[in-house]
Amino acid sequence: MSVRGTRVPEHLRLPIAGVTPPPTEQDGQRLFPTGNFRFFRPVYKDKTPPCNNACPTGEQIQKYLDFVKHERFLDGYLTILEDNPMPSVTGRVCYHPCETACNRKDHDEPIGIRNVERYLGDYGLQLPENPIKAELPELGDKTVAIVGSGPGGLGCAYHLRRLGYRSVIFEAMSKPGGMLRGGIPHWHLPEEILDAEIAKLLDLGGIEIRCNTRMGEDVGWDELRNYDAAFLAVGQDVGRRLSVDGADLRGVGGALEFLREAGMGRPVKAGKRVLVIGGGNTASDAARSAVRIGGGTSTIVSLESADELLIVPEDLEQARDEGIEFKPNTSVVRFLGENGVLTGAVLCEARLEKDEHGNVVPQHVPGTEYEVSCDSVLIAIGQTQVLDWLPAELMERGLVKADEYGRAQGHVFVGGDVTRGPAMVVDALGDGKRAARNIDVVLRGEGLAPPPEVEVMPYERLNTAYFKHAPRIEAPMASPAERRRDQKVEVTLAYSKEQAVAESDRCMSCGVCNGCDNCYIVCPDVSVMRDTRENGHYSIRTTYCKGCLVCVQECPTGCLEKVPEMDFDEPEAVTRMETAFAPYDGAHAEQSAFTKGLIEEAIAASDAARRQSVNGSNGHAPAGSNGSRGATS
Amino acid sequence: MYHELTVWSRGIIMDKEARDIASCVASAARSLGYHAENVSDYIDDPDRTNCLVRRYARIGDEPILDRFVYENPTPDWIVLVEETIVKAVNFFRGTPDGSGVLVVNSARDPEYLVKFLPERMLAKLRKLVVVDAVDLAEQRGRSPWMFVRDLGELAYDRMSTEGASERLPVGMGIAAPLIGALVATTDELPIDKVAEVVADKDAMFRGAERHRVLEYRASGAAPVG
Amino acid sequence: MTTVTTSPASGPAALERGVRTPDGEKFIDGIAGTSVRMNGCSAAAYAALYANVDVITAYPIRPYTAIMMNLAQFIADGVLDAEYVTADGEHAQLSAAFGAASCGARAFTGSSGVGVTYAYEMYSIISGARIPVHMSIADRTLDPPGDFGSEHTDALCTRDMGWLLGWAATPQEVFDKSLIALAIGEDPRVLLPQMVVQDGYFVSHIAGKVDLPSAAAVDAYLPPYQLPFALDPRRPVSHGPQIHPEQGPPLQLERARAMEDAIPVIREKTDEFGAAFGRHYSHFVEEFMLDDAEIAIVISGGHSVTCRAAIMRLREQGIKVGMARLMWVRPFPSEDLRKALRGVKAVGVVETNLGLGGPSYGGILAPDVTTALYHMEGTRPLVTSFMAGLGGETVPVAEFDWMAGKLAAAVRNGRVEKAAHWVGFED
Repeated sequence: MSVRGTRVPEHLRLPIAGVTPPPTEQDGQRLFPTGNFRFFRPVYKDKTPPCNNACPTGEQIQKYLDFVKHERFLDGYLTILEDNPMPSVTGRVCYHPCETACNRKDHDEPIGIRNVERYLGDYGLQLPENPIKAELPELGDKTVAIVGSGPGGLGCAYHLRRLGYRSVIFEAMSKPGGMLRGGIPHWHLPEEILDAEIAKLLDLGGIEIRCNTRMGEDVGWDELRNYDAAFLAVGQDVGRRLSVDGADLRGVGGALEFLREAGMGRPVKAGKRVLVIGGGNTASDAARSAVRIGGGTSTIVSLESADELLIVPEDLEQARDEGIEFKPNTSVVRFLGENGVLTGAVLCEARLEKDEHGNVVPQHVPGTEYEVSCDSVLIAIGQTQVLDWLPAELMERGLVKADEYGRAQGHVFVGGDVTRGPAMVVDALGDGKRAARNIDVVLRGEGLAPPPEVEVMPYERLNTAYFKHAPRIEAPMASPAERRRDQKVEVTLAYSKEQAVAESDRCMSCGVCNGCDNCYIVCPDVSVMRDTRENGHYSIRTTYCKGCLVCVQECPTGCLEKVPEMDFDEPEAVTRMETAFAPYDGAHAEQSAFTKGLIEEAIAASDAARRQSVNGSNGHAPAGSNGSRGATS
Repeated sequence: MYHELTVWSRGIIMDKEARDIASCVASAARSLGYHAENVSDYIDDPDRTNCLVRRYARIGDEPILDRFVYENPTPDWIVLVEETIVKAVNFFRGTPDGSGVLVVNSARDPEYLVKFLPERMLAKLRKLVVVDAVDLAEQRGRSPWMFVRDLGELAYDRMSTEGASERLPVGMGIAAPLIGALVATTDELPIDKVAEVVADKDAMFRGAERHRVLEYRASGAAPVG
Repeated sequence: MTTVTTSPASGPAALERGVRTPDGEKFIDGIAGTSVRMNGCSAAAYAALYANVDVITAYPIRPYTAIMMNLAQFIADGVLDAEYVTADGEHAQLSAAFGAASCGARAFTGSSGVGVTYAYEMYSIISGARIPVHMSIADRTLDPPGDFGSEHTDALCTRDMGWLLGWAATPQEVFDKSLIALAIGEDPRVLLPQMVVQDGYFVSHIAGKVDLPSAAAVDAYLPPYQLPFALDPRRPVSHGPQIHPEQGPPLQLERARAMEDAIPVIREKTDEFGAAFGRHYSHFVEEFMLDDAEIAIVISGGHSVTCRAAIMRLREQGIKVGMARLMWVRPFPSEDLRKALRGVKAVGVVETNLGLGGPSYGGILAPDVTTALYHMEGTRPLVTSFMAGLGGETVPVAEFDWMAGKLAAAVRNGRVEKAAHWVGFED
């Protein structure tokens, strides 16, 4: 006559059909952990963006662009300083291999990374105190000798300081900076910017620069070896000579020497009609400086054809804007002069050929000779260095030999142009950084090891649907007429804050999580956990993620990857279901306890209310008011 | 002789494979004069993509009385059509101690797979058979998720999860090598007889020959039931 | 309309005691303590007004339409502040009421005839979810014949769906039973939906005197609606996901228990109502002149009024006849019915419903009554089914006289002539 006495096993109890407690952010709903649906697991695996990979100093470009995008300039600046001590310098003069490698070039146009770097560098120079100073380690008792205060030497000293080492830099010139000062014109890199960056460096302490100290004369090889370690970054600041008739005429000189005198602030002269011999960046810099100093014309005479010129494209364009003329596929036969003074040159058509060692062998076209008049000639056909103070066994073909770690011998490392020939400022800075880290390794008595392999993110693996096409923001420029007025007029001007932010926002964050929340939003199963919106702060709730891979598909940056689930052998990451529907017997009933609790609370509250109302009216509790629920098991 | 075969698979995308394995074993046994039953798990239907689904066969020399108990209570033959099921569920629920023959479709080593089994499941395991069915099957589709079928075919095929008629031959794709490995390592049904009901006989024989066995404990070491 | 108040983050959402509109207070103050002549539909609407329902879901069908008409008028007059949802059919009407009550609103709905059956899917769902929706039904015969009049088949179709189900015989009883049913169904010990049914036309459209209480008295009797597991975004729960297959059987057992567990609460709430309002109803079975009865009519709903009159006349003729009226059909009062009919020799069940092809080839109620009486200790009465009041037609006194005759004959003969009599078609 009744169901009373019928028992339901505790693990099957469910008082109300399917009322289940809410899933929690931490555990999801525990009733049906669907992680076992999955055969691929989404995994956050940051790759190396191509910009970062291309930068010899290893600047974390994606990271600082992301900071700038969010107007976190100090964080951006500190990010650069981890790898590069002088972003105000590189932000002006770097030939930006990063931009060349930038994946955005395949999308529309590469990011203006150098301009953002310059923005951050100049932001940093405005700070009253170098923000890394407080974080530096105590200086130890080891001192490293560095030869040359160019970008290689300064970079090495900086990174050594960050590692707690003292350094002494020997500089032959009267002012520090090496080619930064002596090779790069003021209109490219203003002197006060260079001075400020060097001052900032010296302010860190532990770095001593000894100017007017020339190797071989003031300091010898043996003395160098008294230091705990050494880094040779003497560069190549001696111009190659052109062996043609008339090369000794007054008015014929080296382009490097011309740029150095100008850079050191010494008086230099340039004629009204200047011929610059050479097809590289030095030729371009010299030609452009010459028109500023002399007020006349400059013609770049090169064996290279117009297409073969080694001048970086934007410099070439700027040179043309400034009225620099070009004579490509042209060689100098001889210089003409009167009374030992240059008056002109005989040129001829020619083409560039090289012998089996890579040396340039001009091929003249007979019968094409012609005369031009000129009053200055600047030779820019290559550079070398005087290294007779070094043991001969360290040398090869005019360069210092080094192993794959940049080590010449023992604790002596080498870097910059002197080990590879003329290259970029950022190459030297990168060599300096590498030398500092390797010196640290050897001084700690450990073995050198190659850097870990990196996986560079290609454009094809980005989800480009998420990146709206947007043109690159070009930095403003001084007008050509204004530029020619004085060699101190900076050619390329700075981004405004808004421009820096907007350009950084174009970054596609190739292969690196930038906290865009896309995975968090698209996950249909609330299995992407977000602790904060900072970069990389997501995790996958593996006990619940079904492996649908929508997050991987929709990850704009490609930092999310699918990895076969069977590659993971940690037992706790997936809940093994006891049945196809529950992680353990009684799981469902456990959830019902929640509902039972709610109902029992409500019954207790209702009983209490009724007792109170009865007591209030006649002082008697009604019989059975709390016990008449009937039989329950 | 009495065996319960439970085939675990993934909903939708590998449902037919599981169904084919159970149905081929049952119909081969029936043609040999045994009593046999072959059912889907009604609870798993209609299945969802990737979710766990089960297909059952029971074969024996006595009539099967409990015809409507669809979940095998004491499965001793277990086939996992997809390898991650190794870590997904207690597929040995009800298996008599020491009697479980586990056949897994995987390119990995049995030694790697056995690591995932906790003690209570190892207690049930007799032998672990690993067959790289994807490699041995006739490749017909492009998607690694679909193994040997294209989505277009799947759309037709899916209708049979709730009992519509099969549109594709029974015992094809990765089902065939898995049947081969199961039949070869359980040694209860003659493989030539089973071949008669399997569409892709070649792939079945490849599975019967090319698999790796981890003998976890000697046959019959633990009493059944 | 009651308002959901912000509760402490940890506790369930609490409903504040219903706040009536100032016009509503004034209106009820004006009628409190008076007797008003109104029909059953109005009485049901007044009960909803007193209960201060939050959500009303409506779809028109005679004869219950007047309930919704009255409520719409209350809202239009500013006397009742409730959400009035006009649905696109009875299925949606019940679904909306279900949703509203799941969210913690006191939900009022109703229907008649084929409208009741159109919503059929929802009955099991609502009771299975233990959501105490209130449904006010004015019976109408199912189609055919397309009559507007009463037949109990519509509501009885749902009798096994887990709702509390009972008939009211007068407008006063409609008013009272509506409040009693809400108090029972919403009690946290019960949590079941309720159907309060009145015979179409006979009760719904014929006026009777209704004593109207004060708002305070109703408020004291009927506490604010509070669903322990209400849907509330501040404290999310999910209602009605698929559950583990093994839990199907125990769930159904729990639902069966819930009906049984309602029995003591029905007694308690009926008594409390009598104490508060002075109208004392039987818990389950109204016993009329049964003390010494040899034959008895078992009946439910409005025809009991005629039945009572017929019995008085038959008693005058010395016939020992009585009446047992079922106050609730679900849960079925087996125990109370056995007690009431102890010593009776023959019982006739007035069906006013169709149980086509059923065990008695008569109506729905007789098998229930027979089953209850089968377990009676001692001598069991004979039972027959009287098919009367069908197709929307009434049961006149003369037919009760005829039924009494058949029962008396059964006592004399020691057996019933037929399992079911079609009254008016036999000699």
